Amino acid sequence: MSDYVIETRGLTKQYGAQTSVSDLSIHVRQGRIYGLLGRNGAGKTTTMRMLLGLTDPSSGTVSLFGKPLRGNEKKILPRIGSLIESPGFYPNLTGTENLRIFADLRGLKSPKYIKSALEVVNLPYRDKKLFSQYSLGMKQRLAIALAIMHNPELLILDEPINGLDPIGIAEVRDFIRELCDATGKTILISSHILSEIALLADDVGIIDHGVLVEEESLEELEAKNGKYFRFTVSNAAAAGRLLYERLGIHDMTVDSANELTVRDLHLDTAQAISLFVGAGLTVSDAHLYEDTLEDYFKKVTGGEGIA
Amino acid sequence: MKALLKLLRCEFSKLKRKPLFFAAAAISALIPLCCALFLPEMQDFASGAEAVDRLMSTLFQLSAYLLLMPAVVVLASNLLFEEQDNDTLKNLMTIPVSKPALALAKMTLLFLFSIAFMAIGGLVNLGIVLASGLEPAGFWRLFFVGIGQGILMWAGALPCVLLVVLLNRSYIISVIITFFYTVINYILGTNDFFITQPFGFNPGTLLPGPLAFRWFFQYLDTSGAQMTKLMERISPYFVTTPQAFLVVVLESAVFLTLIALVYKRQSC
Repeated sequence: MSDYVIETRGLTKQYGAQTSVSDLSIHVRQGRIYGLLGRNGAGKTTTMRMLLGLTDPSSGTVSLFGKPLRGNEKKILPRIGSLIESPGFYPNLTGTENLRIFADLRGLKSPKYIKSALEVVNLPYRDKKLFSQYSLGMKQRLAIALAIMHNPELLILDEPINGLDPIGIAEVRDFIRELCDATGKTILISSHILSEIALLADDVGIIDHGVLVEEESLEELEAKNGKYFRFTVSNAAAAGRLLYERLGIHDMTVDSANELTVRDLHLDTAQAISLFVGAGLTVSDAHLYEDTLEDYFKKVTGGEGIA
Repeated sequence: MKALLKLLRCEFSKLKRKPLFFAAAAISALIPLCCALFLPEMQDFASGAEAVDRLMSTLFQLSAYLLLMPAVVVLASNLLFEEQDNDTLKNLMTIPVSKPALALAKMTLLFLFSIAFMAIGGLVNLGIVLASGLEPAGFWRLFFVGIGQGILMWAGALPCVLLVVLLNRSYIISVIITFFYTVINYILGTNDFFITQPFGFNPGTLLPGPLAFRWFFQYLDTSGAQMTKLMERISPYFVTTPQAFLVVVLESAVFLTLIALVYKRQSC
């Protein structure tokens, strides 16, 4: 049996000549939060829809809980809670009435399921307010309540913080983290907001133009983020020679006549500066730089940043 | 079957605060009430039996053809498109609920609506007869004929519902199609060419208007010189209840299957 709760192989979706998702192979481990990060239109939602059987892939396979989704929908889908795109509910009904319909269809007879799901997202039980009168944030909360109501083992949440205010975002973030930590649920979450993924995910998949360009744990990804020293000196070439000859530093580049980048983090900067000054060089700036996840995202997607 | 009943229960829950559905059911009282209030011949009856017959014939010949059938199609488009309009289809599919089962639950709801429509109309007629101080002789027989006609009209509306589902999403086109379908059905239902065809594989049997006419008309009072002539001409072509409902069952099976298949193709 596979170690992964979600595993796709060569998942591809084409709409006519346009490829929305291309040869995507993602691996979501049990009890982890997997963040699918990408710009708007990168193929996150299409991927999630294929994982739930809402959209048929053009090619490739989806395995959930070690079984292929196709042909096992009746066994697999009840084990999943999902929120895809905008929240969809009946506008003429209240939040509780809406949840009752879906609870009935799921065979959840006791009202405690509805009550506790609403409690988690801070929405009132048996409130008289109709769904059509809900704010965007309330709609999003109700959609989260629907996703968790039947206590699923796997949650697939497409941009769950959309429309939430900052406090709501923090609450949902804490709640998702707790769901994973306290109950061992596996969560696949998509976002175009890098900071959210960085704060929440254990594993990250970066998707760009339908292609998975990176898939790693957050720690590994952070370890990949470059750290380096940069010196602005009167003669960068001479300074580099000094570091090589006197301190045995190899990993460096002379960027310009006055700029030197050193990637060897064992360098003692105070020692380097006194060496430069002793050799008659002028040091006007010395800095330790660290690439952020955003810089890394830019690097791997070869484009502009993300929110 | 259990799953279908569960879906049907949920369809009823979704009707809450939906005025269109209740307004459609309420219009079944419209024609009987208007006739009773504004037509002199509907206020002066020789007997209770005559009052029942005349009032019920307006229900069969006007309400069923001109109100029930279009109401079924308009409500069908409302019910079938509501999941896409409200973006709830994805929630249902991930439970999972099958689209064909969902479509069948919605059609079953309309089946019950058709029966309720004719039952309400019939009961309003009963109220009018009783309010006139007459004995409603023979009412219950015609009441059940009315229920049967409701079923015939529901089945007759299914081809139009299929067309509406095929055209997907355009309410204006749905209404236009419904209007023409209703008018054509009404005209054909009273056209000699269609109502004087033997039971068999022909338009007079297969089209809902003529079939319903050839079934319900035999239950109405046909005394009087004018009616005798008409009866002589059309009575050989009346269909029996088993014949009428055999056609309904077969046509419903075909059109419900097609509606379910087309609905299955709709994206969510």
